[in-house]
Amino acid sequence: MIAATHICKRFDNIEAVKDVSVTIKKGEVFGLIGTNGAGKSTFLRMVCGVLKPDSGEIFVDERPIYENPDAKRDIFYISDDQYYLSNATPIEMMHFYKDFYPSFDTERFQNMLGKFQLDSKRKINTFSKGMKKQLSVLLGVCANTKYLLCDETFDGLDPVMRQAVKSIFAGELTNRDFTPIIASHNLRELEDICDSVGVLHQGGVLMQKDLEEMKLNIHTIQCVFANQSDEEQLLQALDVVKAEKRGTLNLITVRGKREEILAMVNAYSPIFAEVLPLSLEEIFISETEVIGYDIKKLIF
Amino acid sequence: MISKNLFFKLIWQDFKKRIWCPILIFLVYFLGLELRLLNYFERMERYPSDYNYTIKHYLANEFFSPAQNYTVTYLTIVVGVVCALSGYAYLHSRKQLDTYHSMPVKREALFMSRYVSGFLMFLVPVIMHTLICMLLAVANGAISVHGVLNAIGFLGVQILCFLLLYSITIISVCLTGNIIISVLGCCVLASYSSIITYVGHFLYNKFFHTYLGGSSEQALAFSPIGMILKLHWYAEEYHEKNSGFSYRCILPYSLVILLVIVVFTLVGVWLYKMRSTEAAGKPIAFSITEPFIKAIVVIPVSIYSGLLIQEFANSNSFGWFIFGIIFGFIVIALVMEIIFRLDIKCAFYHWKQLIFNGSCLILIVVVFKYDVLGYNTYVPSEKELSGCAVSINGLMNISLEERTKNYGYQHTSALDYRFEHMNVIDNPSVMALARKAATDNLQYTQYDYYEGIEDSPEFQEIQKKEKGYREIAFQYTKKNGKKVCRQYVIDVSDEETLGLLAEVFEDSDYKLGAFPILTNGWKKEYSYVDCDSNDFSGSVKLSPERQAKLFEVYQSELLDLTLDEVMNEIPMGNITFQLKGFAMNEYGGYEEGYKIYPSFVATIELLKEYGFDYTKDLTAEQTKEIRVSKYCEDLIDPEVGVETATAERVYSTARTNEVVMKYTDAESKEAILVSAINRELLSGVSYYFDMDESDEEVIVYYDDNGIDESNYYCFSKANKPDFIDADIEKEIEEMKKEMMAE
Repeated sequence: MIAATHICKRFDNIEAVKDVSVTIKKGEVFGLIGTNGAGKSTFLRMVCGVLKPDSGEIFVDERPIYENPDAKRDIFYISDDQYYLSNATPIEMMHFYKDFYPSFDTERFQNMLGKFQLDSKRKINTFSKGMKKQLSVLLGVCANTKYLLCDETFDGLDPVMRQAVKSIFAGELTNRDFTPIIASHNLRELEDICDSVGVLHQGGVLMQKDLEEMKLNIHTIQCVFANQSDEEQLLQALDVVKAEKRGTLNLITVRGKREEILAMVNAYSPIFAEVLPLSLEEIFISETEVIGYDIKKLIF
Repeated sequence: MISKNLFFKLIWQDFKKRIWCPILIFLVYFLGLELRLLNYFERMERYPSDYNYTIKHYLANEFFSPAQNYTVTYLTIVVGVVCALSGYAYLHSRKQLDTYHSMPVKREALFMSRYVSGFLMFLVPVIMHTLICMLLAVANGAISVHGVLNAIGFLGVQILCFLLLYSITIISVCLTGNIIISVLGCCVLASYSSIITYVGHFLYNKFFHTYLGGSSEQALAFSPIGMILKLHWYAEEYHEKNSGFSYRCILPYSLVILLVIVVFTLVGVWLYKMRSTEAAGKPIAFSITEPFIKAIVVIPVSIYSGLLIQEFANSNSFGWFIFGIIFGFIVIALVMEIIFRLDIKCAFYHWKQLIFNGSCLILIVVVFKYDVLGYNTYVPSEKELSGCAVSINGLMNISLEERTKNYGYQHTSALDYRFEHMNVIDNPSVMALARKAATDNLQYTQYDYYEGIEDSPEFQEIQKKEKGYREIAFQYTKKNGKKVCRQYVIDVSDEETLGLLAEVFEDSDYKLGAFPILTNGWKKEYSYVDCDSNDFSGSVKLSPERQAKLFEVYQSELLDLTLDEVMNEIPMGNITFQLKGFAMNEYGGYEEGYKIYPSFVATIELLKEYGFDYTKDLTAEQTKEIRVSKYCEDLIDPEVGVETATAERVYSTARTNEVVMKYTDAESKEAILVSAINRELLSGVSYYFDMDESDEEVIVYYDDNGIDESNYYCFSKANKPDFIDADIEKEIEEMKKEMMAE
């Protein structure tokens, strides 16, 4: 488990991370969402021990991370612009990381290079941006660390590769003690892979929630009522997050279980009523609007 | 703890990453070692007569000696900087730092692995080249045990030089976040104490007229480059005094350097640990040091700019100095600000810092200009003193040159000799003179020279006022061992000053410390003395017995010499003691500047007995001709505007504005010879003996046992024969008439 409590980091006059407390459970896929400059990279760099927080503490499996090789041995950090030795080939990079991570699986790495059609003897500086990203993921996965920190790793990958990487992650999650932490500014990319997410904005955490739990507890109802009073009574009875009216059609985002909500709506005899699924994006828009943020401005 | 395995892996990784570095170093040392050695071997074989030492001697004492082989050290300095910059440049790259600092390895281990790999990149090629050089020496029959030992010592010195520059460059890289600023920082750190000392020296020299200059050794302390130079100078000093070279002479100082290297390395590790990863790409890694760095760069550079611009303006004006400071301050302060912000628009970002640095500069200028700390008037109290040496400048300054064992010569100035050998603390007049000089606080007027300044009333007024000004240097040795030097201006036209000066000069302790012959003379062997009287020169050979006898009489008479005699009597001649060399009849140096005064009766008698007569004068009969010449500006042709008037009667080939009279008659020759004074007699005392010399120059042509000789003389105004002025006046009139006629 990674536990960050009240961490702050300032670069000169800029407060990059302020009072962030996040808990990342073992075995879950944690998504870190935020706009550019929200503090995602700074947070990840602190989690992997590159940066020292000005205040607060970060523990990886109850061990402080900063300057602690023991704890760091369980973490592999893929930065948004991964460093490769000059003129190095993928094989040379494999040997480089093998020196630091003794459990690096060289055989698997070479197999995966073939599967991803990356030439093991080609110089990395001739690789495209996407190929470099793929390589960084393969190195990270084959390092066999418990935690894999990915800073905007999915950006630059084509949809096929994105799916391939996601399936590798899924495999790792099934087969071993593996916790990926993925930072991105794109909610849609994380939706189908993350178990829980944290939203960072201007250095602070807006929220941290379990994705499934969120999905089960918030819904949008599309309904039409014959008279206005039924409509008003229903809105008062429901735990409304957001209500919108387009002509006679009501679009109501409501907290609660699907069946319970539907039962309450039906009790007011609607002309038409339907419960719609919410995308991760919509859930966040709704949730953050509640706490006073216009998330459309934050994320998109 | 990092495993040994990982440590070596990290070293190996770095080696692979920077493989160009050892290759480059290998090539550089090939040029600096083998190529030079082979070149020497070839030259020594082809031109053996050019070398007065053997090939073995060359290898052991020249090639593998820091006293002679500076080239390799210079290469090592550059190699040290390159290794450190290339090894730690990753600290300036966020990408690389993110990777390395996220790895499961401690920062100290990363630092040390880089440190060791960089060192090995230097060490391996250097050892290889030294071994190759040894093999070449074996092949050329140049090897000896001494040569092998010196090769090992040579390696040791190169390692020290490398590590010193290597560690200081690492500190610079850790302090900065940008490679260009690292290089600049390295230059500053490697030589800062020397720069500061030199700027201080310039300032003291400019504002404190009693400043006597600092030793270059002081300037080199704490500066890595200075320490390396000092190490080589120690070696050179030993080399000059001894026929061979041994590394034992620099062992103590090498240990000091080693200690400094350890300190620098620990500082490097500490900075590396403290340095935050986010410093990569920033100009300075520790923002807290920014104002300090700015101040220590901006202030001395501004002062140096003031001194430089004043020098360019060729003026003593304080205004130019101030202008230079302001100009330099604005430029360097803004440049520093731009460097720190990496943005030209931020030149005035830290205006408070600008004001602070400017205020410091004003304070420094005020302190120096108005001598706020009383530097010029400082005289330590007797209680503080454990010794004092005095050097009366221009009063029988003895020049000392001694041959060293290594084919060179060691020259010692009068001031250095006196400060090293004199202690006149027991004479109360010494400190009384020092206090009076400090209280009077006299100084020569500084003025800008221009043509015709000699005729200006202000200049003449200055000349008149400063006619009696003389310089006297003091070295106060305090009880804590500190030596403080001052050079005061005294006015000998002041009776009290003159009285004190006489008491100092006539003090036997002063003379024992001022004249080497009175103290060291007994220990040395002299082969002969050169004697010069008013008219003749000669040499007298010395045997040990003769030397002992001559010393006995000369020392006694020199000790009795008074200041009054020096200031009022013309010496009868000079005597130079020629030292015997290491081999018989070989030149071993000299002690020059000793005088023979009329009161030195016993010395004159003894030297007459040895074969040189100071009382013998040139007679009119021996003299073929005497020419008396005078420079006369009136004889410049008004039409041509250049020197055309002539003494054609004598010089047929040139037209000059010099009047030259020729005397051949016995009566005139007699009169001139009686009055003519050989200028050489007054060398070393002319500062104190005011001859009031007339404008004429006298050349006497005479026959010395069948050989044509000539001597140059002058007249004092008081002793000039009357007919000289009349003859010259008449000649000038005639020449003017001729000019008019033409």
